[in-house]
Amino acid sequence: MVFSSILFLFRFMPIAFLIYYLCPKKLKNLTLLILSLFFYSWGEPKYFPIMLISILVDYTAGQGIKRFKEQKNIKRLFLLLSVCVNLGLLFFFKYTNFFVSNINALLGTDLMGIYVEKLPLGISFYTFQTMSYTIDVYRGKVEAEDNIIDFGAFVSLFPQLIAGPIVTYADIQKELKQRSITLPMIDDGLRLFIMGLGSKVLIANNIGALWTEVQMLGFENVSTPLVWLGVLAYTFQIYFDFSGYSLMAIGLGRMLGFIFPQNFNYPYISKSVTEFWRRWHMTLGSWFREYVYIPLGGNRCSKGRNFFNLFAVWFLTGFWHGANWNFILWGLYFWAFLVLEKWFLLPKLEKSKILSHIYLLSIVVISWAMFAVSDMSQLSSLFGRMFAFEGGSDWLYYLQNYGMVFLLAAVFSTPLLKKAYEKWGNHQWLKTGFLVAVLLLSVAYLVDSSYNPFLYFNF
Amino acid sequence: MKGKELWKHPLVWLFALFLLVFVAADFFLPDRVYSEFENTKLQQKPKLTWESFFDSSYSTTYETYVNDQFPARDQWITLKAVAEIGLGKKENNNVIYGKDGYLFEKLQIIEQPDSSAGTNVVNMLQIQRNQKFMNEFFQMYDLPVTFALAPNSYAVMTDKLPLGTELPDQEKMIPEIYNSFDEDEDLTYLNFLDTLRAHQDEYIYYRTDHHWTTLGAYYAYVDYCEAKGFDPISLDELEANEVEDFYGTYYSKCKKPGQKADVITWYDVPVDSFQFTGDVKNEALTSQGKVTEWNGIPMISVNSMYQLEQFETRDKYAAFTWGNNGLTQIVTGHNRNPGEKPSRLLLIKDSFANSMVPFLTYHYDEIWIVDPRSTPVSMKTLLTENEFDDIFVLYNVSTFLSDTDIARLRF
Repeated sequence: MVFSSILFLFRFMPIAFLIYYLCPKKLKNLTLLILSLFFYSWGEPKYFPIMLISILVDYTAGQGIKRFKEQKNIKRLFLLLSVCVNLGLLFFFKYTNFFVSNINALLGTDLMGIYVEKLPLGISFYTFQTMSYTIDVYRGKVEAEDNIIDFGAFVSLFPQLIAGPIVTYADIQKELKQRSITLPMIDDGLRLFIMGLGSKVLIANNIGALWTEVQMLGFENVSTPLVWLGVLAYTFQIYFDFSGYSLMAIGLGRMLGFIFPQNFNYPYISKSVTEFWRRWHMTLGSWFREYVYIPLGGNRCSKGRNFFNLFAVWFLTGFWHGANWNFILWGLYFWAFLVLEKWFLLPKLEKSKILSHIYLLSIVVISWAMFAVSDMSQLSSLFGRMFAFEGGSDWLYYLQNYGMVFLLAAVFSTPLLKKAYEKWGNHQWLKTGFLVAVLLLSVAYLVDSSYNPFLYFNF
Repeated sequence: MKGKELWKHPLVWLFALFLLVFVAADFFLPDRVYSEFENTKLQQKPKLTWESFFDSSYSTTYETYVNDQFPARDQWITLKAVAEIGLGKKENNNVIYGKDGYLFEKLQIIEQPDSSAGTNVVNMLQIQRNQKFMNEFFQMYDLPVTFALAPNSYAVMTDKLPLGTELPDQEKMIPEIYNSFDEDEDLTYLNFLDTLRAHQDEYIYYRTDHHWTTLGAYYAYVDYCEAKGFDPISLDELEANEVEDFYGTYYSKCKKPGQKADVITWYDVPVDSFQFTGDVKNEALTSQGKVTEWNGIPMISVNSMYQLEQFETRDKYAAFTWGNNGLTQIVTGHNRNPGEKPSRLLLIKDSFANSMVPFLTYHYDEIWIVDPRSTPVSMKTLLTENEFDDIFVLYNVSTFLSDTDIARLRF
């Protein structure tokens, strides 16, 4: 089930929240666990056991580490168990076929891959979340959770289950035990949820249709301006899709009484790649910093070693996004710019605002072209068309169709609305009216939806 | 004090009310079977079984069911269509908004389209297959065959398309398809494109539907007569009737707000007998004639060229020839080119031909119509056991490219 669906809005949401609000405080986590497991299993009941394994293994590992605090080796064994099971699950479902096909290509063997119709929902996200728990317990950063129901509620928590933000146990540890649900919090959460819904349904789906069409027509069959329009559309689609989904998750979390960390902070207004990655998918960035980059030595080492550490992080970041070479390429592409910036570019970028915006946006737009196309020969024909000019008038039709959506997407990529919002602070009804309009339009687009993909489903 | 606190959060209350109203309405309103507005069947509540639950088919169907039965579905769809226009969109659900209220199909030919691609997307492989199948059919029999591809409205009324619209070039495609067939002395090709373009300022295509109007069909019929050496009947000799408020298939897809309706013209053409393979279990249908049998195939026999009741419904075009039926046999007594023995035409066609059939009866004593999509007899049986003087194969380009039943002509 995805949040941006009639099914979620008018079936799951009213029933789930009604039960949740009405049940006594003591039972709230149990209710949450059951609701989340239902949410998870809907549509893919066969993956239900995986979620249970995940909860049980990490719970046991946490308890083991706590009990054998003094025996370093046993303690380490429990940590290893958790990391191996989590990475093992992730590897098995997400990466087996990639490795099999590469080994086959390299050695000429004929190994069989596995058949995975769809990845288990949110596996890339919750394996990271639960791993962070055992590592933090091991490091003594958090206490092990004794109550398996509370722990299960943390792992399966439905708002952030499918697509993040990546919420670590430390983030919501307090709320898990003691949280208050107040009207202002619900109001706040609802506001975020509706904004997220609008981002996803009204902007991402709308503009994404252009990219899908360009892709369908074939890069060889369209003009250079149209192929650029397509890539630009994808640039907006992925941002509004993903950030919209995060916003819905944060909103739902708040309505349940949890404060989730922010995941996007207007990344497209950045002036450098360094800044971009502080604003884009922030919880993933901090996860890699906390659990990969710093353990490797971070930047408190030689420059060479530091660049290597960055390399490791960006290789993994790319690979996390998908089991394909283009994602690895995409990660390393950013690594290259980050190294350049660290080396000498950053101070220079600060000199000109306009130039640095142009610099960042061109890098990012090209990166999304790389990200969007997994087939290498397709990717090269896309780049061929982008950079070897081919005229035509096909783009005129699409510009008329999508010009307005582009404009809206561009405006909403900046904090303009947020500023207007702060200005209207006293005009409660104006704000409410805006959100109601967004909600109604979103429902209309969901009812008549011929196109409602979700990009981050596979990540 | 408390009350004041509550009113500080209107959004929460409005949202809760909104959910409540729609959930309640959803619960109490009966499910609809068919949507007149969209001219399509709606998903009914699926049955929950262990099997459907575990293979996820239940959840997928259930989600469609919730969407299809959502309260005020038609109004939501209209709201979306309005919003799309507000965004300056020139299309909705793959229907292009042309000038002067014309709607056009956004036909796209793709090498390997995704399974999720819309019905406007044609697989290039299918085109090659259909060309091959049609060619095989032509080679199988020694009867005079006339083959015609009717262009779609966008290809004729090019100046009504929005700027920069690039759709498959039917002017190029039609002769290319004709040239792809093996040479055959019995085979005549007709290309209506020039004729129709010459009349493009007249009302020859529906604005809201994919068909040509009766007038468009008439001009094509005149071309056919010319090729066959017939003297076409003039429209002045026939009595015209008009049916207003026709919203066709393009409109059903895009639901463009403020769309002007079409008018259907039909001409009184008497029949001696008219029988077709319809649903004999459908009492509403059989009560309009009687159930008969031909070669062991149950048929419905009526005494009119049109199903006039159909003009009262949304799907008005289906009044012509009583819709698309597998086999239709028409006997008339007004042949302008009578021979020594009764003449018989075999018409193999899609729905474009339906509005042309009344005119064709002025040149044959009998017309047998086959729609390969639902024919109850194989072509081999039909053509070896019965005699025909002419074969006329008429498809519109879009259907010819995408139809998956053309293969059946070979059997």
